[in-house]
Amino acid sequence: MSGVRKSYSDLEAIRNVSLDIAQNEFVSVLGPSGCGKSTLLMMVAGLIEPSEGTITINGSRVTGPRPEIGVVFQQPVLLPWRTVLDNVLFPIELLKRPRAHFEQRAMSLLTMAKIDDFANHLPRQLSGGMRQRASICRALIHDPSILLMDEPFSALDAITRDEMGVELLRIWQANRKTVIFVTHSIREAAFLSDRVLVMGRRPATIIENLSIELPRPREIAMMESKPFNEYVRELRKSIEASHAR
Amino acid sequence: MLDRLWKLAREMGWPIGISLALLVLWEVAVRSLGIRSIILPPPSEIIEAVISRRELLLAHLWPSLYLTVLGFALSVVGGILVAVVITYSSVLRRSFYPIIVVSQVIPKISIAPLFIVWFGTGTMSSLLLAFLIAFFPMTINSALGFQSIDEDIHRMARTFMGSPWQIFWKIRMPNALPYIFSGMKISITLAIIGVIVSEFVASQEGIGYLIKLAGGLLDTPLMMAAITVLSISGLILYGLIVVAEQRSVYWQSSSDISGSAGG
Repeated sequence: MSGVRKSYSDLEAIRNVSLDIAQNEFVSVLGPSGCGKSTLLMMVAGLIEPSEGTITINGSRVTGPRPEIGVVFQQPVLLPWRTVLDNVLFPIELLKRPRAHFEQRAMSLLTMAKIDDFANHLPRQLSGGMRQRASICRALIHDPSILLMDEPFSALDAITRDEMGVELLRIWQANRKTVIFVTHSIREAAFLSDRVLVMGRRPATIIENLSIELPRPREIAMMESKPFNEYVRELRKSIEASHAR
Repeated sequence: MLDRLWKLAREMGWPIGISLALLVLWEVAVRSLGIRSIILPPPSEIIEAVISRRELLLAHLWPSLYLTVLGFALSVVGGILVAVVITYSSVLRRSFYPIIVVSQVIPKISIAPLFIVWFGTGTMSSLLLAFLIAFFPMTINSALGFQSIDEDIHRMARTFMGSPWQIFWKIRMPNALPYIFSGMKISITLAIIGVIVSEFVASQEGIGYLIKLAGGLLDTPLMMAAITVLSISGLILYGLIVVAEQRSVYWQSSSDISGSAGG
């Protein structure tokens, strides 16, 4: 993957964002609610067209949704009439690939997400955290090279949220993807990422690009470590600086 | 299973008990006050009429039921088709939807004599009136169901490259099912009304014709027996739809069951 480069200019939304993301890199886009970071993500997903500038994945320009992308949304958006397993296999159906080839993979993803016991349950029988895990499995089922995550844990309570972060890293460690993770939680961004991009308020633009050089695998205990808190402080400072402007 | 039966019995116990009590009260009141059965027959006499004149009742019930079910089926198919068209064509939606909604104000029963003029006194008038009355709630409910899909779900399907065809069959259709069923529950009762009214106006057979005929002959027990048979048939048709609904919309009905069992 040569990287994602985009520059986009619009008075209201996003101004001149250019960035490169390396293959298998875990990048967070951090910013206040409504700053346009989700818009940025949806442009990478090919759902929204930039009014100026281009986005390139693996050397080809993004013009619409593409199969090498998996998306996790803020809400799990599972189909209530399908079992967890059928929900996970939904992209396979849409992409018209043979379902039988992917059932094994779906089960092993569910096992990895520790919800294999619920494969034949309906979504409403699962807790919020379990539903979001299922939606992560769904995003990974067709083995995309890029995983886009739009504030995936923001609807969960704080304790579940930290656990889900650890879970996500475990899954990511096992099958490496390029991840673009949008969040408004400074600690979450610092804990998960290789690199954090801070977006300022409207017109949104990237005001900070900070590499997080904490060892992997990461554990919750690291959130108390000194270097971690250094990163958090630095990120908070740049967000506050953008507010002051 | 036994638990559910017991629960059902407990829930149904009161309404059934009260209905029985009212019937007993009716029986006792009519007999003790000496009301003539031409004015108000007691329940026992109505039941007797149902049994003794079952052949006459059935002979007139079948054509009515047949037309009701046929008119209903046509309204379901037609309503869903129109709803799909309205959902996908914004031009047609903006031009026809307001007309459909406003036309709801017209008491469609009042059109019955006009249909007789156009289509004669045969079955065609009854069928068309049943269809016309049942069609509107079917269309409006289905259209609501097709259009009420969550924007997030739509977006999710598009990121996984779902085609409009796939989005219709795999998302819009199941999403609309609960709405379609509530439309069907309204439509079936309206279809019955359509057929009966049309038979009142002009017909040589059918339960509506029999009710009118019995009224003219001052045969009140027969009239009440016909009404009873008609009500039971309506209840059965409605019940069949409810059963079909619980089977097809399993993801909602099961929530009600387990939700109330938990409480």
